Amino acid sequence: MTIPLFLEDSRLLPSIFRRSHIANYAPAVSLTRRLPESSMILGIHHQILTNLAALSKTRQNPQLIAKRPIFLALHHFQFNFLPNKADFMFDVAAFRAEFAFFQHHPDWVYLDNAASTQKPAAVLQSMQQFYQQDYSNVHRGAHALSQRATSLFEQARADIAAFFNAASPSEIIWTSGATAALNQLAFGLTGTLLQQGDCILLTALEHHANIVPWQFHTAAIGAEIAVVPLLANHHLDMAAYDALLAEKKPKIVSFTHVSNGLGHITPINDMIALAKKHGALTIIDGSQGVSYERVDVQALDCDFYLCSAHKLYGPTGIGVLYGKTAMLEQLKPLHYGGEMIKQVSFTKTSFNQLPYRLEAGTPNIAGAIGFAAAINWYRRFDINALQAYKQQLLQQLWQGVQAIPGIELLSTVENNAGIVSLNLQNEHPADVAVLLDQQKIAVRAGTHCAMPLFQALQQPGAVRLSLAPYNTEAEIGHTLQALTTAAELLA
Amino acid sequence: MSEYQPTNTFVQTKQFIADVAMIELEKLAKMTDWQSRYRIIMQLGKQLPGLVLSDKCEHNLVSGCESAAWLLIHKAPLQFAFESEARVVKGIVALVLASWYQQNQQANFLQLWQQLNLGAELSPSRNNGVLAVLTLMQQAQA
Repeated sequence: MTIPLFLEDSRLLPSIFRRSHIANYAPAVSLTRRLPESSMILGIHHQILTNLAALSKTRQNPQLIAKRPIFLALHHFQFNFLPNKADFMFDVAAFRAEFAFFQHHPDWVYLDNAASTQKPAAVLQSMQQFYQQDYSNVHRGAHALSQRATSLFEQARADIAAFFNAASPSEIIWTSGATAALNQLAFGLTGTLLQQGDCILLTALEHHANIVPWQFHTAAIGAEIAVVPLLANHHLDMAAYDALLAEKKPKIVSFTHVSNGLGHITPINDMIALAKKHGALTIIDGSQGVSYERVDVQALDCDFYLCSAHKLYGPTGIGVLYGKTAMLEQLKPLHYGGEMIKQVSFTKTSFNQLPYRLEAGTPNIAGAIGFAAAINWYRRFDINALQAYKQQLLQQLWQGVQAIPGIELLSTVENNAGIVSLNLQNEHPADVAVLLDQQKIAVRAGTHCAMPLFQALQQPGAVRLSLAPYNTEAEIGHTLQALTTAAELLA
Repeated sequence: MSEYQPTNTFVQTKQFIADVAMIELEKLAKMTDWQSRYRIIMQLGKQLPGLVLSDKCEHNLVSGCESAAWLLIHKAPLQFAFESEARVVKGIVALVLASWYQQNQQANFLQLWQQLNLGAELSPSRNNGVLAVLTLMQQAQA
């Protein structure tokens, strides 16, 4: 496909955008955002061409000389032009400046965002302020300081509830992370909702945290685990999912929002609707999904949704388990002691109400406040702009790696939240990663705590490059160069 | 007791160390840029004779490695055969073995690794899978 571009040099475009004509392009962007990606590219392009043509006439812009049409192939066009969408949609430099980490490591390219993201100043400040100015234990103190800490802590819960559009803050349970949330669910549902002979349905994309707790607890009661397989393109086989729901009649369906090993987005809306049709309870592991799109748990109508904070710019050691009130009330607590208890004698104990019933011990107060700060910070950005920018980096990376000899791509670029998993033919991912590390590219290599996924893919693992909106076009270029060097050294 | 009957794997490994790895070890000392050092390590890793499938079993598996590694130890005389999925690990182990043979099969494996001076990225301070293997080799020697 070719597109006429009435410019002498397409590389002039970024400087043109930077010179304050942003307002001219914003309407074009919002108009086309609803259209599919391909038409969006063309739509914006068409609009910008029109605007540029007008600009060149009316403002006598010396850099803009509409001399002759240059025909560029679409991929060339994407490289030279699309990355600069950020100039008017999303200011990567401003976003990146919020992270002090990059000032300390200017020579590193951080592409291990699926493992954990860096932390913006807002999060660090909130936690420091809490410890320096507002610190006290929560809930039990009779003093005003504890009440202040408690109200900050409960405000954090309310902020998270608002972010996920939960019906009430008491539907948000603090956990130490996604793994702890899944362990609570597996423990809390097995033997009560899930009985001997019942089935739980997982998918081939799952992280160990959504496999092993179920394995452990279901083995004890004799329940079955069934697994939704993958298609040849490494996305979930929805026909098989439908068939498994009908055949196995699972009591619970638990699946990831986005695959941590591949970046592939699961069609959670359809999957929840289908599960409901068959009467199954739904659990969604949002560890990778929360940074991809806004999650509205009421619109999704899932029973449980869970995530860690640290993959969404928040601190480590904190996460949340969202559950519908009726579902949380059925959940058998995994931990006992502390605030979760209403009354204790040596013969009988009664438990507190939600959410405290599921939060034993002194909670990670600073973590909760840091997580809420992360979410409040993150909400300031237009999720569509973040997503579009990340997609643009993904396109650049995905297109770029095709040119490297011997590259085997495990991820597709379609329905991908921002991860490229790849291997070099006949090379172990650890070798590729060590050569990238040498060139200061931080990636993860291995099976990414999803061994069954890589068994299904028949790969020893993969090199995983995972993107965040603070990554830049220049970093992707540098990474492609480093991968090329790695391939040459291994050849 | 029965005579020492070296298996093919042990003989091949020793031969490779003598014929190839020792020469590469000398070359490595002269290299100043990381690319050249890594090229040597990766090539050695590619060439080091592997183990037969039956030896790549649970019993010989070295735990504590990011990528799977298997170590065969023959006690008297002390000999080694080794394989890892990762070339970088094989390459470093081959270089340490070459250095060990050069120093009359007595030196401490972990110290030999340190002396190779491969830079921070490939040193014992970074657990890149080599540590577990060399620790087992040192235990066999001690």
